[in-house]
Amino acid sequence: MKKLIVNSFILALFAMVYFSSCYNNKEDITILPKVSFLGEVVPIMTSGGCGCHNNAQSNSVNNNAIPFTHFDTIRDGATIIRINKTVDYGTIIARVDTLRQWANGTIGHPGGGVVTLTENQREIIKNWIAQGPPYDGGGAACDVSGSITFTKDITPIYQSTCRSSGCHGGRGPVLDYTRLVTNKSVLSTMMASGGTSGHPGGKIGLTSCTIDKFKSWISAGQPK
Amino acid sequence: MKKERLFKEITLIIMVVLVMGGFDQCVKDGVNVGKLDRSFKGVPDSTHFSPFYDITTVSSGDITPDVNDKIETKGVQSLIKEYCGVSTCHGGPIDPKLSTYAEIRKYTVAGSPEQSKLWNLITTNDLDEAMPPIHAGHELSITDKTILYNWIKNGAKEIPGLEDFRPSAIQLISNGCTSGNCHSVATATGSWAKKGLIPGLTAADTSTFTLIRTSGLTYYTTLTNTVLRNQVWNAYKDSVRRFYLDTLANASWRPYKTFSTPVVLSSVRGSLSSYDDILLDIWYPKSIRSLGTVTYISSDGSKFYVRGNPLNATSSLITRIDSTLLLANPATGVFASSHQGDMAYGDGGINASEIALIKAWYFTDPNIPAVWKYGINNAGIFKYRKSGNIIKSK
Repeated sequence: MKKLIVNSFILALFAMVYFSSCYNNKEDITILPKVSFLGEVVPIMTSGGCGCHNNAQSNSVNNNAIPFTHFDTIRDGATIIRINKTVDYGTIIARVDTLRQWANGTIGHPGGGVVTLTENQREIIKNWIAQGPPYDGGGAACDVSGSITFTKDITPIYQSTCRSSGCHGGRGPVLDYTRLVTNKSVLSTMMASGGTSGHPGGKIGLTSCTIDKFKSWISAGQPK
Repeated sequence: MKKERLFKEITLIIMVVLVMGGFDQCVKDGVNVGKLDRSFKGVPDSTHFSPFYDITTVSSGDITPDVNDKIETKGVQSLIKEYCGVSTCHGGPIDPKLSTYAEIRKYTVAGSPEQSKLWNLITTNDLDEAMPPIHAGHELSITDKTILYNWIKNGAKEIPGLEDFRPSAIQLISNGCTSGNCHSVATATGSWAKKGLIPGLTAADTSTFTLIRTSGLTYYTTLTNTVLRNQVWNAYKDSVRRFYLDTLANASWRPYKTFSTPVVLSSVRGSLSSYDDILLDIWYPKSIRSLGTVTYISSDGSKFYVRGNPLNATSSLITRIDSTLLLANPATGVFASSHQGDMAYGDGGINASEIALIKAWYFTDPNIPAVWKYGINNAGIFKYRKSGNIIKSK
């Protein structure tokens, strides 16, 4: 009887170990993390370090750099006080091969000068390219299946792409649900052109995923 | 007896099965998980500004912060909230709570990411320990890991300081302003070469590239001979410093002493390639470093083209990028009537947050003299256009 109790106790102990061991982390992951194009690559290409590519006069007057951003001039009275950048994603994507060579050190800055990438920036670009490169970042592929809603799909795009102190929600109008519904035709024009026309604040660049999501949302009747 | 033996054997078998099962539980046999590497792929990069909060207001900024007075970036607090602080995890019922500075700071060892629990859980490849749990599918990006690493490495402070501002600001200036045809050593010395100010050059020492202007073609020269380039630039910097330290005793070091051809203003564009170059440009701004006419002839007949008073200047690094400010000539105290911040949008592309970062560095760096921050006797040399407030030492 005594042995029975001891054995049962040991058995129970093992059972506890079994059921608790690694329980929380057992599941496989559905997708491997990827370098985000929007979150990690674009900031490198559009930071102040890439001044010439963000230049108000890119490719025209003061330098011959390929413009990566469009700009909105903000005026304070008669004087220009600042610009806001909107990114031309396609221009960056089109230069993947050049970026690969630069990140690998086989070429220097394509436009000359002494512009260097930090080691960390090299790693980001190399990893991004090795992974595809993924276009819209964030890991998951662009999913426009199922119902696209304002709360679930449009709001995150607004937060990450449109909202900043110099743009919407700052100097520009807040884009809430009502405003987007009221301006459906403006959105449709913007999405049809990829942002190159229709945007009241000037030309902007949009990713294919953003465009697809907005198109699906509009065609579904802009559900909240 | 037989029954008891049978019971013992069954117990043993069950125990063995459970132990094996336990090991099996711990083996990540998924298709994806085997490829997961959570270690920090990047390289510690102090040039990536990494504060605790998303918004850092520049301490020298206007009372009501103007557009170029706030550094807006992703901070550690919102990063932790994004990955750890969702309502079902550490932002909800699960301890520890990871929301405030004190709560997050508790799991870090200031100055040592490697000894910090927070960093180790986020980067460990022991998938049983990993946080966020790997099945959440929400691993930190390289950039986010960099932010966390930098923040801990720089002391895990609540409010960023000089060591946070300086590397980022210098990176912004040295990379952004030196590209192509602008403030690089090659171009700075090349413009002298083009004007024949450096004797003995051959075609192999220089190169030209074209810049398309609406009016036609403009050629800029870069001095590509690295040895000569650095020799000339370092001698120039040295001569400027010595000239202003002690004009009489160091007369032989006056700027442009080796050049026989008169220097014209257009040839004095400085390099902003390094911290040292940037400091030179601040201490001795372009407008006082050279002059179109001779100001001094030495006993050996060398001519010098330099303005006498280094404070008698009408431009500064800060006002060249920040159009919310007006500069006063530090020597006369007279404020300019219009701003000159076009380097942020005309020739460059620095946004408001980046301008704020450069300002935050500028006003905290002890290597920049007080007179170039606040003028003579704290009279003030930077005035906000909108409010009229003058930046003064507190």
